[in-house]
Amino acid sequence: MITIVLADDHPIVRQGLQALLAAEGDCVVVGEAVDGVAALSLVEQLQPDVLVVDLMMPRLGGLEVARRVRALPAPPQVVVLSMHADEIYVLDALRSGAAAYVLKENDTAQLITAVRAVMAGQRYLSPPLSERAIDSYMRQAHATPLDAFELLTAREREVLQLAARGYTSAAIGTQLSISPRTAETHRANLMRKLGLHSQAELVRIAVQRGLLPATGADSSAPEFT
Amino acid sequence: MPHAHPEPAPQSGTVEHAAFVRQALGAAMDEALDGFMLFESVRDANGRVVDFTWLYANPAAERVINRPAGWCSGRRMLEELPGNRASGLFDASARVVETGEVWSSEIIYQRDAVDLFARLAVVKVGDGVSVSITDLSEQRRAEEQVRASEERLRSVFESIDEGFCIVEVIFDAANRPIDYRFIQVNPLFEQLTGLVGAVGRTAHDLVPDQEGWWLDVCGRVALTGELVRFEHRSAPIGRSFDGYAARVGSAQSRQVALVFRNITAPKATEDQARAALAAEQAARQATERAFERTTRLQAFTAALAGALTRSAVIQVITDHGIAATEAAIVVVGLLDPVGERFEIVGWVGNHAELAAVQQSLPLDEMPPPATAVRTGEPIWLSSREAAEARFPGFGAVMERFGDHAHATLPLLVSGSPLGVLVFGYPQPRSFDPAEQAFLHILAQQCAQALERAQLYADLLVSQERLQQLSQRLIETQEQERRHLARELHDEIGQALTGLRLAIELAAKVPPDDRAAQLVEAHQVTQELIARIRALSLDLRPAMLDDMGLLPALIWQIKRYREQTGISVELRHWGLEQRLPLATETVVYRVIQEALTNIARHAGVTTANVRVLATGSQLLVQVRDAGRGFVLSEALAHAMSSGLAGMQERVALLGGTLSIETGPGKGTAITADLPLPEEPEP
Repeated sequence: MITIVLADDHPIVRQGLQALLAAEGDCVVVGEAVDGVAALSLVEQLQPDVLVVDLMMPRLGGLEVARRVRALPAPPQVVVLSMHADEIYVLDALRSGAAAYVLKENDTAQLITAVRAVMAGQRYLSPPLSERAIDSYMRQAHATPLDAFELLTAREREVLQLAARGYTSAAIGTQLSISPRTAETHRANLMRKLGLHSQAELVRIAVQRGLLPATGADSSAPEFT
Repeated sequence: MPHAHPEPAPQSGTVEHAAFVRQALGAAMDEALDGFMLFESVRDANGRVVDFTWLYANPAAERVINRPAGWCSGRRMLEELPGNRASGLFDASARVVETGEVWSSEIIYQRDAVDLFARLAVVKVGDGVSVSITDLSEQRRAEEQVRASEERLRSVFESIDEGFCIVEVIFDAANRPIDYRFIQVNPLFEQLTGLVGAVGRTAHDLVPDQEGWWLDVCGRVALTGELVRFEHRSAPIGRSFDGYAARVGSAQSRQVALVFRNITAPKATEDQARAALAAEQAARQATERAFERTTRLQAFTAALAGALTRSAVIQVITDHGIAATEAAIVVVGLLDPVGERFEIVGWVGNHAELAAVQQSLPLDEMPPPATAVRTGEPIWLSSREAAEARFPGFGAVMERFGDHAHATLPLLVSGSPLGVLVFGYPQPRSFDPAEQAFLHILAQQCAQALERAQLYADLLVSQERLQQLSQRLIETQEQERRHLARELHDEIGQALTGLRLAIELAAKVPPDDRAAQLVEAHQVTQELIARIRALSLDLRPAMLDDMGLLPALIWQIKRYREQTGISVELRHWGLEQRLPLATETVVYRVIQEALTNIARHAGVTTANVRVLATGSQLLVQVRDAGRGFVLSEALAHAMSSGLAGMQERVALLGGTLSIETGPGKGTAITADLPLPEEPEP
């Protein structure tokens, strides 16, 4: 017999699932909990084979319960029930130690499949969830080196180019038909965005980004050192 | 003519002769100037003289003892004039009677209503005495007068506030002055010259290294009798004197009087006094000027305080500028937004050329104002020459406007120039520090007023925007509620009604036929679940709260592609950490709004989203290479609610949102949000 503790704050859901599991013959629901804290203590007390736990529960969420039972001497396999069909939740559940992720909106029969899979030592995800979708999510969630230069506004790039040539804010303003104060604001903003603290750093980044020839300022611009 | 013979005197020794002599003496006595008295002794039982009885007193005698004519005869001396005993006259007279010696003395008799100063001569006559009295009172009075006048002279002499001395010049045989002796000095002489105990000593003795100058002067005055006025510095005693030297007495006199004062100290004191007076006057004038300036400044500031718009501020400057500053011309020039030209926004002054001044002038045509705004320092031109020297050609400009002096003050707000205040003066003018400070403060007040006017204008704009925003918020809220209500009623309500009918039907049909009804009910339920989930996600994805910005963005982009067919490339950095919920929400909504706009207007199949969170800032950029739009038009029309909403959301968190676009240029929306150094838990 597969012993199961069922944790869900909705009685009607517990009732339905209990009936569903009992109908299988080799499954028995040994305890029912209405929140995460009760679930945790029931698992500790009854040491079931499987914990079926709702993701969203009062007092202690399903994933937190999953994380905590993992620390017990004889942890149960955890099947997470969820309304969320999004990879991040699945990923989060798997990282928390869940072995299966079952969507509530799907055919409830999937729960039986999930219980049997986890008892066989396999992972189970409700369709349309898949390992591939999770991989894809993980790729998207992977941070890529991104520098602030790419996020400058076009105006800020223009100001950077002129400032690197040694133009004053007034001269930049004249060149771009904006007020000296606006030019000064752009200059301050771009330096803040790029984390620059001096004219020398500003020139260096302009050279690095190809806004300024590496040989120095062009001959028409004021000199700088 | 018949000659009359005088009657001859009676024969001597005859009775007739005695009577004649008595008569003649009596007549002489009556007319005599000196007094004459005849006394007979009064003796006691022991034969001692105890008193005298008047036998005779002539009128002069009765006059000097202050008694009426004929009063004395038969009276007793000590009874009538008891003072004779105390004065010793009685005793003296008694002794004359006893011894026969003549007694003579000067006496002062001031009692018994007698005031007499006289010389007496007492002679024994029979058993009595004759007393002749020469009245000396007149003489005494004259002497007293001389003494008093001498006293007065001396006190004057000693109290005059000038030094005084009389010297006797000593000449040699050739009548050359060789020395002089001090005869008399007053106390001030010692004080002024420092020569103590000079009287009786010679100059040579007192001041061995005596210069010849004094001797020359005194010698000349003694010989010629001329009056010499002198001003001389005496080197040995280190003092300067001025005064007079004059001969005393006759031409033979060799005495010279010198009256002088020490002008060493007075000179310095006078200078000091003059300087102190001048300083006091200057201070008083400065105080008055400062007070007057303060008053003018207060009036000006009070007028400025009421000016809330730029035009009102300029109006105050032109209305009150001349009265406040004594200038003849006041011009207000403001920098245009590019900082290339001055806009002449106000001027005042009674000069025809002013009206011809253009409204907008390039900076380089106005060197002093250009310099003032560039350096942030006032320009003081005290004259045309000074102006020409500093700004060649500007002297001529001043001449054109009738200016002889010129002050240009930059209008600075937090160090940035807004423009200039220019003052023209009809006379050359040295701008002293107080006036510079005054004009400086005046310009500061104007700049602050202009800044305040700008803030006020900004406030009105932002107030209007806020009003529009809250109106938009209400509209949006109502729109969402309307949408939600319609969705709940039309879609969910309908589906639930269908579900209820299916269940009712299932209850009515025989058990074997229920399966079909239940399958339908199950299907309706599935649809309901999906619809409610979509509804909920549209309102606000739970993921944003549960999982944070990155999962929500990934979900949004996935869903966006499913709904619009536009694929979005998301690049991000620094989003592993949770950010403040408000920031996450704003970024989520900005990206949602930007993507929605792209789907509606851009006509593209791809878009880029970049999010970069570093320690203190979050940068977000949504970019497409689509049709773009004219920003000003977009902001003015329907699309504006979305764009303005984005800007408001970002601004509320202290960030900025920049929208860069143009027809055919694509669109880039960049948000720049500050992050707290420590992420919220």
